[in-house]
Amino acid sequence: MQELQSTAATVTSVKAAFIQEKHMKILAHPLTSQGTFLFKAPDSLRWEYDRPVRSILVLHNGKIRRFVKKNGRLTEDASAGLQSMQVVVQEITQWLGGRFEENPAFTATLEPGAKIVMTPRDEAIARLVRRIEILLSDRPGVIKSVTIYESEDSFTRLDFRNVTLNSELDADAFRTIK
Amino acid sequence: MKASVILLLIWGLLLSCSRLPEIVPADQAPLPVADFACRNLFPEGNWQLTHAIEATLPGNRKGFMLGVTVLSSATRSVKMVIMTLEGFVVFEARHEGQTTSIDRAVAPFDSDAFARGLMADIDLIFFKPQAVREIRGVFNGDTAGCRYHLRDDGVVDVVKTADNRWETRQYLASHRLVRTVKSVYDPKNSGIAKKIALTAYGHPGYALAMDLLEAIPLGDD
Repeated sequence: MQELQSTAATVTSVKAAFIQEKHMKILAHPLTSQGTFLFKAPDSLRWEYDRPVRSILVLHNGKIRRFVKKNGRLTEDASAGLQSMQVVVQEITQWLGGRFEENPAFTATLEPGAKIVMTPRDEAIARLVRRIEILLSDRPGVIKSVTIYESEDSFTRLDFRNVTLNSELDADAFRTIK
Repeated sequence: MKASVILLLIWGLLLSCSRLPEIVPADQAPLPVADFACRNLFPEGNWQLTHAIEATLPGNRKGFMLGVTVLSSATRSVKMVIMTLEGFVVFEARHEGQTTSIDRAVAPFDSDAFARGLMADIDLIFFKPQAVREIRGVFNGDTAGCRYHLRDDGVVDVVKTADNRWETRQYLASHRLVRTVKSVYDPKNSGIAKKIALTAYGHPGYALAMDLLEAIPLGDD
């Protein structure tokens, strides 16, 4: 785990496309979304969906905001559900920095096949997230996929593609929403 | 800005005070009302519908979610999932008969009142009203539609407002307007609206704008 952490510490930015599949027992087939993911160390993140709904979730300077395209315009989301997303997104920035063991709410275990399994310590969190599986790529510092299990038959899988590390990212991508 | 908010409030208040319009039955109506009027406005059979939902809450705050509704018109049963746009489930419930069971609910979606209200809205949007009496006819002298008298003395009017556009208006037994649902249909996909706009009057009022992303027919049970 320490080796992973030291490799990840060299990552200053991540740019990737992603395909997300939501699996649930009641769904006839998974709900598929896709978009682009940007991370700039230490904690700026832009999680942008192109489909099925164009939306942009941005974490910058510890503040999370979401914008949704509606009738050709981007509108800011003020729903209460955004607060829970702040926790999730901050967690992701920690993983990208290799800080898998930093959150006291989860136990991180490295399993064979370059898989990190995060299990909640807290009963209240365990009711929301059963476990999170992070699959690492052969390329050092790259996460191949993240699967978040809400229950055994309800999970969200994000597969990352075309990952570019340490490229120069425009800081405006986290400040200016367009 | 302040003036427009006040105007909106007055408009909402006026609408919520709206009274039941008269309906002239089809056989006495001043214009022809097709036998098939009010048919194909609700999904028939078993469906999985996915919507992008925009909720407008008090204070004109906007919230965006994805909603998955699995419904059966035969049993009027519903399974409903609300998730964030990133796929995190914040609400999951089932409604069968008179019973609503919550399988998962994250604050602020974790109250019984929210679940009951949501299921009542789903029922109004997707199921033909369970009427003790149904009248097909003309409203206000020029608008075709149907009136459904409910067991609790409430009334639901379904009114054609333009080609492929219908409006459902729900009244209490006191004839006070409590909900409107404006639906836009794709002519090729009868029974399933591609756009739905629900407005709930009262305190607090709210509005839901639902855009259909996917409609999957499911096999029989």
